[in-house]
Formats: sequence, structure tokens, C-alpha cells
Amino acid sequence: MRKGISLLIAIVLLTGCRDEKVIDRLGFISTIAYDLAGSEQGNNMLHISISIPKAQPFNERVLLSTYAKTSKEARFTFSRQNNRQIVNGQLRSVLFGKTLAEQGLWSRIDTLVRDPGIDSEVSVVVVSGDANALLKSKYPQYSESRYIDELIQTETKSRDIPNTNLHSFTRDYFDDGIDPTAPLLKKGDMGLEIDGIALFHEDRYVARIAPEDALLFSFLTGNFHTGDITVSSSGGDGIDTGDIMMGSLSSKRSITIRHLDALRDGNHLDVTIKLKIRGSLMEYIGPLKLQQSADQIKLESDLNKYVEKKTEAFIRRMQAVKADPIGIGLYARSSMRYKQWKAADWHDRFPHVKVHVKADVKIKDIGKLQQS
Amino acid sequence: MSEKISPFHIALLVYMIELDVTFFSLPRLIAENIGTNGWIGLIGLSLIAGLNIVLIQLVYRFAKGRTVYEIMERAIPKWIMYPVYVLLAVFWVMLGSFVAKKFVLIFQIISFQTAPSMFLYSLIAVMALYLLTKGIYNISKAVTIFFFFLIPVAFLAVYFIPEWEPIRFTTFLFREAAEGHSFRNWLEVYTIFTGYELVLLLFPYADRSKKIFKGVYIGHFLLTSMYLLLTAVCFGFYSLGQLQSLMYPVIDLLSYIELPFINRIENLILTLFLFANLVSLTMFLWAALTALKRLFPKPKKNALEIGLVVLSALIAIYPKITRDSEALLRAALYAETGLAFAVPILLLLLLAWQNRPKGGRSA
Repeated sequence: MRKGISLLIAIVLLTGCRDEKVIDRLGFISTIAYDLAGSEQGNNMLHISISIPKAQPFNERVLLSTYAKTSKEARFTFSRQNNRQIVNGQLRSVLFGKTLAEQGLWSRIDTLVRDPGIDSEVSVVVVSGDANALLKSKYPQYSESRYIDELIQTETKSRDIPNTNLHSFTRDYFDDGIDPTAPLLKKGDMGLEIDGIALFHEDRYVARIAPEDALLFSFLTGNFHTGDITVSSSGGDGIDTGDIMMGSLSSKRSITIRHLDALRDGNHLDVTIKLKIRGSLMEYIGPLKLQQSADQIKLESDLNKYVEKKTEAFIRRMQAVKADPIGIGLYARSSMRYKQWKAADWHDRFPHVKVHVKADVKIKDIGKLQQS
Repeated sequence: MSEKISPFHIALLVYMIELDVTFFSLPRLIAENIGTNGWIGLIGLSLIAGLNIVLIQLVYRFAKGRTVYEIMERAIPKWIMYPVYVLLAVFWVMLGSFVAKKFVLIFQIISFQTAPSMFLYSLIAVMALYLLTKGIYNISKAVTIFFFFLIPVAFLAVYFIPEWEPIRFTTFLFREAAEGHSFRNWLEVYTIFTGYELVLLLFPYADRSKKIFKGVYIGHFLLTSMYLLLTAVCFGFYSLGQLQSLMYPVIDLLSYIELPFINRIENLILTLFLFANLVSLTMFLWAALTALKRLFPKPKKNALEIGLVVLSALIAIYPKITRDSEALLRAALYAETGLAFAVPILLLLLLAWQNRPKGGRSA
């Protein structure tokens, strides 16, 4: 019996000696950048770079770059160049150049999702410009190896940009009622900058939401609990909000679908998006006397108009490029019968849908100052 | 055979036999074969399995303490039954081996990618042998421990609440199934429940003074709830098309979890599921053992057990790649599902005939 038990323990423990991975001999890729190679490299070639952080010296990294047809082919080249075994297990973000994104990303993302070594929470980022160049640039003020990843993480937390990872991109790509979005990144003067939000039609990048509008856009895409907004609108279109900064924003979105015809065939849809926004006023420069309730109400109604006007403009842009990142299609689908939903592609219906936004902004408090 | 298995242990045993490697692809099987709102279909299929258990319960009631083998041998000559027992034994060994081998192949997607799969398989087989030689009472106790290893995994569902949207369920019922609806497609989903039929063989070991079938129903109910939880999490977390495209959605689900102190926990949790598959392998080997014991009532100590485990390893060599292993396992599960319905019905007919009032006129 004792022999049997020791044999069992021995076999179980010795199994660990197979497929051993010594951490010192591994190169953990943290970021991959993909671009379309220029015409001199051939039309279907990709320009691929990887960044592998080094433990010693701190903050250093290894950067490898090559031209290849697929990302796995590139990996072979990298393995030949590198003194360590290259593994994907710690991949944090993938960057796609804008021109590649315009051609469609699914065939690139497919291989990343398929690889069991890669986590589905890897961030998907579109670079306004050249992804390889962005990855190769040095940003002396920041810890080089984790800069991109940390920037994306912080921005996603403050809810300025969508939290797009391999999972959510795949999910929205496969769903017939919604399209994916991804954060846009660019190289600024001091370092990296968020350049807004990339909107997709299926897997093709078709439009951009500017970074200053990112928060207004995220009102449309879901509920959130943190965030700041600055509004500055004086007089144009009859909306005079002055200069406002609101903090601790929380927002709730609800979407209602109405069919304007009795057939409910989905060709005459009327969509109302209600946004319930609450926040504290942090800064105000303008004509109103905010200690008076009446003026607060006036300001709220101006803010409502501002939010409605801006967000409706976004939606018209989305309709023009047939991209539905909000997922209005999901709600439309739920209001229809299966046959009617399947009768037409949502992308063809979406531009003809009437969408209204009804904002309900309330100023929770005006801070510690009474008089201004 | 002094100790008897209590309903509590039977419940856990049924739960753990039913839970096997099909768990990893369950959400995809449902999305592919049933389509939107497949969880409703899952409830329906679970009720059908429940009806099957009712049949088995009727057998138990009318058998009045006799074993399944005794009932059959009273009606059918032994020279017919013996080859059937051998066939059954080989079939059960095959089924168990395919389950365990498939687990090994899936496990190798994540870890030990280049190790020979038969080496990993033999580790499981050795553990199965240890369990098998200890008898069913001790197996049921070991299963209890394995059950408590696995049950906390259910709490990970909480992690997916922020990303979970009921709108992804859609309002359509059973639409978008990849190949439309057919008996075969629904059967494919139904096979996730196979395992409860082994209760037929547990009759002589169960505590007759207690309601053992309460245990069977509770075990089956618990498993159905677990499957429903998994399906509900997946249908709100993935889009339907995505779910249909993922080979093993459960592994993807686990890989999504990132805790502050650890990520990629699928490596750890996948290992826990070893126990569920070990139980399935052990119990099917045990079923084969009961059949063989009719042929060899007084075998040499552990000879049959060792023979069965060696046979299982030999069979497991055959499926070398996941595609083959998938196809073989599916075929074996279809056959087992057939047996699960056919055997109790046959037994009930035999019992009706054997228990007919004495002196009554025969038709």
C-alpha cells in the first residue's frame, strides 16, 4: 500500500517536469502592433512589431519588428531573433494601424481569439496613424514597458473611452444588432494621447468620435458611475450654458422602441433614448445666479438641450456610416418578430430609423460655495 | 457489503457522474443546436431525463431488492446474457475512456501541450484504479470530497454580473440554430445528462430503508441548476454568434476572470474538473466491473479491476486528436442514451411478466 502511494505521488509530481517553462527563459509579449505594409512589401503583407518588457534593467524593453503575411509567421521570425522563448501569456494590448482597421480587423483578431495562450481581456486599440511607429517611439517620462496598457486602463476606468477587449470586440462583431467600438490612440507631443473612439461597421473602422465628445458618446452606450464633463456653449442655437464643469457624473440610459406602422415590420421605427444624468457642479462661469433654484432649473434645461443636440448629431453621423455602436439594433430586435427582423440587415435599416434623445440632467449640488 | 450508500451520497454521485467533459462545450452545444433562449430547451431536456429516472424508479420498486442482472437472468438464458455482459462491459469502458481522453486533450490545449497525451491519461487511469479497488461505498465517499472541490466554481458567476446584459438573450425562442432543429441535434444536447442511468446498478448497494430516489432527483436537479446557471451566464455574456463560434466557451469564460492577485485562473480550475471526469471514468469502469462479475463471480483479488483499467488505456490510445475524440465520444453517448431508455423499459416488461399474479391466465 505504502509503495503504491509513493509511486502515485512520484508520478503526479514528476509530471511537472514535462513541458517545463522557466520564467527567466521566456519572453512575455506585452504589446503587438499591426499595420498594413507599404506597397513595396507587397499588398497583403503586414508590418508587425512586438514589445517584450525586461525585468533588468527596469523599464527597458525589447522591440522586434518584421514584415509577414500572418501574425504567427511573424512570431517565427521573432523567435529566431530573440534569445528567449516568446510566449503570449502576458499580452495586454494589440494596436492596429488606421489603414488596416479600415480594411477590417476580424481576420487579425480571429487568430488572437483562437490562441488559447491569449487572454480574452487583451485590449484592442486603433492607432490614428501608424501603430508600429507609435509602439517604437520612446516616451521618456513614462515607464516604457507598461505605458500603453496603463493609459488604456486608466482611461477606461474614468469612462472616457470604451473598454474594448478581444471578448467585447468579438461579441459585438458576431451580434447582428450592434457594432464594435475601440479606443483610438495617437502620438502626442508629450506622450501618447487618447484620440477619441473608433466606430466600426462590422469589423471595419468607419468613423471617429473626437476625444472631447467621448464622454457624451458614452452616455449613449450604457450606464456609468464616474466621470467629469465640461460644457461650453454660449448663445449659439439658443443654448447658453456658459462654461460649466460637472463632476461625479452618473448616467442611466434607457431605450424605447416604437413602431410607427401597424405591421411592426421594422421599417418605420421610432427610437427614444432617455438619459438620466446626475452630477455635481464644480465650476461655473456664466450669467446665472446658481444659488437661486430657478436659475439652477434654467441651467439644467439648457444642459438638457445641449446633451440632446450633441448626442443626436452623433447618431446622425453613425447612421450615415451604418455603424450602430449603441446597440439600438438589440432593442429593435427585441421588439420584432423573428421573421421581420431577419427580413433585412440591420445595417440597412439603421440609417432610416428616427432617433430622439431625451436628456434629464439634474445638478445634485453646487458645491460649497453659495454666492458667486 | 455491510455499508450502504445513503441518499445524500447518491445525490452527489449522480451529480458527479453526469458532470463530465461535455460541460466545457455545453453553452456552445445549446447555442448551436437549440439557438436563442436555449435554456428553456435545457429545462425541457432535463425533464425528459427526469422521466427516464422515473422509469428507473419503477424498476427499483418492482424489483423488490433484486439486482438488474438477476431480473434479466431469470427471464433470459445465461448463454445469451453472458456475451451481452461482455459487450456492455467493453462499451462502458469505451465510454469512460472517451470521456477521460477528451478531457486530457482539452486540458492539453491549456497546459502540457507537448506531453504525450497517453502519459496524462495513464495518471487518471491509475487514480481510477485506486478508486475502483476500494469498492463503490468508498468511491461514493471520495466523490463527496471531489464534489466540494468543484462546487465553489459556481460562485465565479458573480464576476460576470457587470458584463451581463439580458438584452442579448433576445426575445426569440429556439431561433438561429446552426443546422435547424432535428431529433439528432436535440439529442446531442441531451447527452450532457448521461450518467444518471448507472443508478440501475446501484440498487444492491443503496440503503433500502431510505428513499434513495430522492437522492437521485436531487442530484439531477442540482446538476440541471448548475447547467442553467452556466447557460444563463453565457447567453448574457456572449452574443449568440460568438457562442456558436467558440469551441469551449467555459474555458474562455474562466480565462476572462482576472482577480487582483491572480489571472489566467482557467489553468487552476481546469485541473479541478479532472475530478469530475475521473468520477465519470471510474463509475463507467465500475459499471463494467459489475457486468463482468456476473461472468467471474470469484475473481482473483483486483484482477478484473486491473484488466479493466488496462483495457481503458488501450482504448484511449485510439482517439489521438480532438476531432476524432469528439466524434467517438458523441457516438458512445448516443448509444448510452439509448441504453438509458431501453434497459429500464425492458426490465419493466420483464418484471411485469415475472410479477404477474400466480395462477392467472396467460395471454
